[in-house]
Amino acid sequence: MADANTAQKDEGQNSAENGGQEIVVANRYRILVESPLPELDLGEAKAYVTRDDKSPKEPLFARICPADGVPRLEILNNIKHMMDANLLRPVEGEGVVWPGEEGRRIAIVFRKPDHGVLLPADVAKINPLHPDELAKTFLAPAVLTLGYMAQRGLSHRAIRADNIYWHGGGRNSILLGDCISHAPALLQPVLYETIESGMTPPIGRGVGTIRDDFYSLGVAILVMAQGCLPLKGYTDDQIIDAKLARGSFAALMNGERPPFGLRELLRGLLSDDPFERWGLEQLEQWLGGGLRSSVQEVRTGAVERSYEFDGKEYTNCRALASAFGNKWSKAGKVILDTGFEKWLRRGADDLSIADRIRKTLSIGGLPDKSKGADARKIAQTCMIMDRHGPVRYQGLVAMPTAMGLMLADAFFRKDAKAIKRIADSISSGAVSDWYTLQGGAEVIIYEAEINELKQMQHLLKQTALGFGVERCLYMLNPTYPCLSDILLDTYVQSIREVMPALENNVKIHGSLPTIVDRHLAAFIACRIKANIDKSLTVLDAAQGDPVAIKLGMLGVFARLQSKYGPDHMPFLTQWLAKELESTVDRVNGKSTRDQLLARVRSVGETGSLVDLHNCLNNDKIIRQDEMARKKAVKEFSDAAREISQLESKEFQESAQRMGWRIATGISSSISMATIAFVVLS
Amino acid sequence: MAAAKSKKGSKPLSIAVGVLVLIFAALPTATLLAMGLAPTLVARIVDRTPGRYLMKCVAWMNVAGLVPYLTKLWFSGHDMATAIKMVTDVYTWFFVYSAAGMGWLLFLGLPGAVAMFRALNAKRRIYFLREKQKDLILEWGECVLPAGDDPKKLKELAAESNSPDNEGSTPVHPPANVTTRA
Repeated sequence: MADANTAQKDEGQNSAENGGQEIVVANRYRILVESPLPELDLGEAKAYVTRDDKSPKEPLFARICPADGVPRLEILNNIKHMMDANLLRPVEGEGVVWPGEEGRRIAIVFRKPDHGVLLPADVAKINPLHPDELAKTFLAPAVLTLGYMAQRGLSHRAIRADNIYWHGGGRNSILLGDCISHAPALLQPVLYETIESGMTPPIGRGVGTIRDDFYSLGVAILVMAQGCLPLKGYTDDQIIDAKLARGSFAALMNGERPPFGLRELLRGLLSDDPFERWGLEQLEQWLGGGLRSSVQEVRTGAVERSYEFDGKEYTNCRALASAFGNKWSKAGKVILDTGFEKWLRRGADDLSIADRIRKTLSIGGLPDKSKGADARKIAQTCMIMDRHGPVRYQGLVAMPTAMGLMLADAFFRKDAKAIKRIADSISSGAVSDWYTLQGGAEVIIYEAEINELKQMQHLLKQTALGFGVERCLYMLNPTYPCLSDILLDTYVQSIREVMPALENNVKIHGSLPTIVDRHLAAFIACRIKANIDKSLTVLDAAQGDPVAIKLGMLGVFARLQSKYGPDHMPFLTQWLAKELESTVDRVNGKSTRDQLLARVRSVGETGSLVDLHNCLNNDKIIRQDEMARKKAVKEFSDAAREISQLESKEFQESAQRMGWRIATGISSSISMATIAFVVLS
Repeated sequence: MAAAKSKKGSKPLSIAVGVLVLIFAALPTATLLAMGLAPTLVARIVDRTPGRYLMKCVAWMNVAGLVPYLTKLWFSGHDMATAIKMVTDVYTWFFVYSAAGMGWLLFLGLPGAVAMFRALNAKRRIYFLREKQKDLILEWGECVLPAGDDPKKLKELAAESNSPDNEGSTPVHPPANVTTRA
């Protein structure tokens, strides 16, 4: 991805071509602002015709991501280089200033697909595909592509019939659509999602795993085989209820016979048990004609008797868990109720659920029934009842891998309550509990995520500058731009863009509103490939001392400049030099102070923050100055003592005594000489 | 205390015994000494200096003045006639008493000269030290002051440092918590 220098150079380069406005990406791709492609719009991301300066005939288009979006830029480079995959491949992505919009938007340039989508949004029915044709033109390329993605540890999370394109001369293949311009599974209808993902708000679904993609693929196969969407007219809640009541396969078939030859395939892909669900191996065997075993249908969480909660009857633990998640304050008392426990023991298909809930609630002592269980215990109870479901904590409903996205969304909306709720869910251990309660091999699979959570918990405990929830935001969203007000709406996404942005802001405005804030410190701490926690602790200790803070940040900026450039930053350096001139007063010695001041002023013109830092944060000079000061103090007091001695009465008296002694000496000498002379003569 | 008293008491006794022995053993010498050492005796009586420097000064010169006459007496028979002749000679009195007088003058004059010399040196040294202190204040300001220093002196020094001669340098002010005596 091109750096901010290029992007900033692009600002103002909006030249007219054929009478239209253009936005240039990566100095090469020209997005024609006045040539929209509504047929290629995706959700809130609008599509526009795009031209490549180096290959003008290549059919390209760009999607402009919404301002509140969190595009998956961290996988862009990976997908860009998957040359053999049947995937709508991106060519370039960059932050651009879009006409008529505040702030920057991410623009992603794609190669234009040969044909349209399998099932356009405005089309109710298409010709169903024959199973053989479906296997050859649809399933085989999809499995190949998902295989490539799985090898790289990626998930698509946007597989649906209106995001898959026909491909090739005779529409003999498909291209899986754009999975970058929106958060994972954000635009997925509940129909295409697993039960647990369907019960989660779209922004909270997270990256999931490739198993979620196989489920979506199964639904897409069903759609293509039937030629239309199943469960038409059903609301999202009705779809989830149907899946919970009958299992996804049965619910989606809705009493109809599955297409010939696709029963095992659909049953395998639409299994509600992610471990039973078909994966790459089974699909490849099925494509090769070798797999005929089928997956047992399960109704996960089913309970024989109903349970009444908040005016509604529930016959499924998972549905009840979802209700608890939404009405968590009421759930706190219900889960302590013996009636609830009896209901679980009598009717749940998993008899251990009641024991596990009891055990969990007993840790630390059973809570007082009148007060109800605390939020963490409610969350744990929901997790036991719905093992694969999302984290449900104080009204927050999200998959554990979606915490970063939720944070990004909350910060964008400036929702302080939501930010606190997400932070509390991490620091209280509720999110870690999700992984722990998966048990067994899952804990090993999620080792990286668990370690990341431990790191988040440690960061959330510290409120110092550069730590806290802001640091979590940038750690969990590696391509999220910095939200610091200091950057004055400059889009800064990578650490290399920070210094040029600050330099530019000082150049335009003459100064920065402040030298550091929580977002900037957290962004730098997160993205710099070094540990600056020590510097951050020093910065935090200096709160209330603006000069010390500026000195501390100078050290950080110098480090950034030395690592990432640019080498010459005259505006920022001069501004900082002027702001920090008063720090020269720390030096006691006037001649050293004058020398240092002259040096600071000359360094300001060179544009080197590194030199400025070496000048002002030089411990050696301070130490030497202090030693010289102590020496000067000693000399001054020695001089004063000597003066006092010389002016004292004792000195005068000693002079007199000395005179007497000399007189006596002279007298005795004369006497001796006389005696000697007389005796010898 | 008793030992010191007895020691003090035995000293005049020893002197008395010594004088008696001298009178009986060497009467002519005793006669000359009695006349010649009168200035020393006077100096001993009037001397108030610690260490008896006046007496020592006069005594040495007194002895120097007497020695020629003593040697002349000893080498010319050591008799009373020679001793009386010397004692009645005015030039003997003049020579011996002049020598003692020179000792007295030395005592009176030399300390003053030495004190003046030392005072001059001290003044020069004080000037040098004050200049050094001024330079230190110009360079280091108030921080060079050790705790408990006389604030009046600092104010004086500061005033000297802030004088028109020192234009262009940083003005020095006494610390805010220092008050000067009226």
